[in-house]
Amino acid sequence: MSARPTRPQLEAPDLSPPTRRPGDVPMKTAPNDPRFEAAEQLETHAALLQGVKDGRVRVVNPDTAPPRPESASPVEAPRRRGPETSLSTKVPEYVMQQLRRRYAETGVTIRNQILFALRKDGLEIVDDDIQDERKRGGR
Amino acid sequence: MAIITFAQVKGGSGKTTTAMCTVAELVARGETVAALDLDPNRPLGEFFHRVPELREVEVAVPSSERRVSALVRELAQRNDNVVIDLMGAATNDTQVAMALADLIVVPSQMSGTDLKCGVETWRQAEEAADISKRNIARGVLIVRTSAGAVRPRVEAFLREQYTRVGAYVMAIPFGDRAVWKEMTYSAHIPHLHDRGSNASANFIAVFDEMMALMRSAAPEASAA
Repeated sequence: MSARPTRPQLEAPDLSPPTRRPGDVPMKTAPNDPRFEAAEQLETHAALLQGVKDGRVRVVNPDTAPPRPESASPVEAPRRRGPETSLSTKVPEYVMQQLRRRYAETGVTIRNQILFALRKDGLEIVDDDIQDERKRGGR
Repeated sequence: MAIITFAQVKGGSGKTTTAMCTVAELVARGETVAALDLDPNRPLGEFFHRVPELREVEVAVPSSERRVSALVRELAQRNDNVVIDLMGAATNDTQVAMALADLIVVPSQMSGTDLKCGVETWRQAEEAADISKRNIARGVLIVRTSAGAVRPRVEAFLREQYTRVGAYVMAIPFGDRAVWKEMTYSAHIPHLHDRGSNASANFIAVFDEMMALMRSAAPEASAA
């Protein structure tokens, strides 16, 4: 029978009041610290879209999602490169649930989630074709 | 001053427990600290309310009017330290909270998914440091490993894998003990209520390493 490994001796921790070395004196972070400006750059709608596109952002926190910029004039809908055709298929229910959940969380439609995934896998899909029909104003 | 962000794009990795423990240790050391809870389940405020010593800790939550950088700016004006607990997913807040930090801690358990997500989080931290043009201290904290002296083989393997991608792994792991799991029920925090315990000694060692890591990345230390 092998001997049980011996456990290390317990040593009483230092319970004396903490002393601060001169360099350790806490100073509050100034409100004009450049880090805040840097972080604000990441809180824009454009940064969110870029994050989703790069795969860095996969879930949008509804509490902190930056608002869409209000455009002064109606944005011209991008032109599709070609006509669309319908595609119907079956997927496992749990996949569908995840797609629906992601739509609820990010607002990216199921169609576009699939197109993004296909493009990531190497299919040629241009940005103008990844548009939600419902946002085209009924064109 | 310290803004400490706990980040890991995988949920259940130990971010919230480590954030709770960090706030408690800062309070135990007499520091002022506030927390920003970006987890939609809002565990921090509820927990701190149950612990008399932590009841006064300000816990901010975001809203559409008060987003992350604005909240942290406010909290940092009133407190020496701000602890940010992120949601366990790659969200729009992840890099914002990282870009604000003096220290980013990436808790990682030992599964392959934790490793993969930990590496992704580490890379996001590197990008955040580039964006904020600062040397942000950062380290992977191995959590829920064996609390005993014998280190499991998988822990050494995990350290190798993180090191392989250039991530810094903190030397002291945060050991798995029932007391951490019981903490949210019992409101008993070892390093606040029983500083002589083994669990307390473990977390104090983790905390000291976090502070040392932050000091080593501070501008004065970098210039030296």
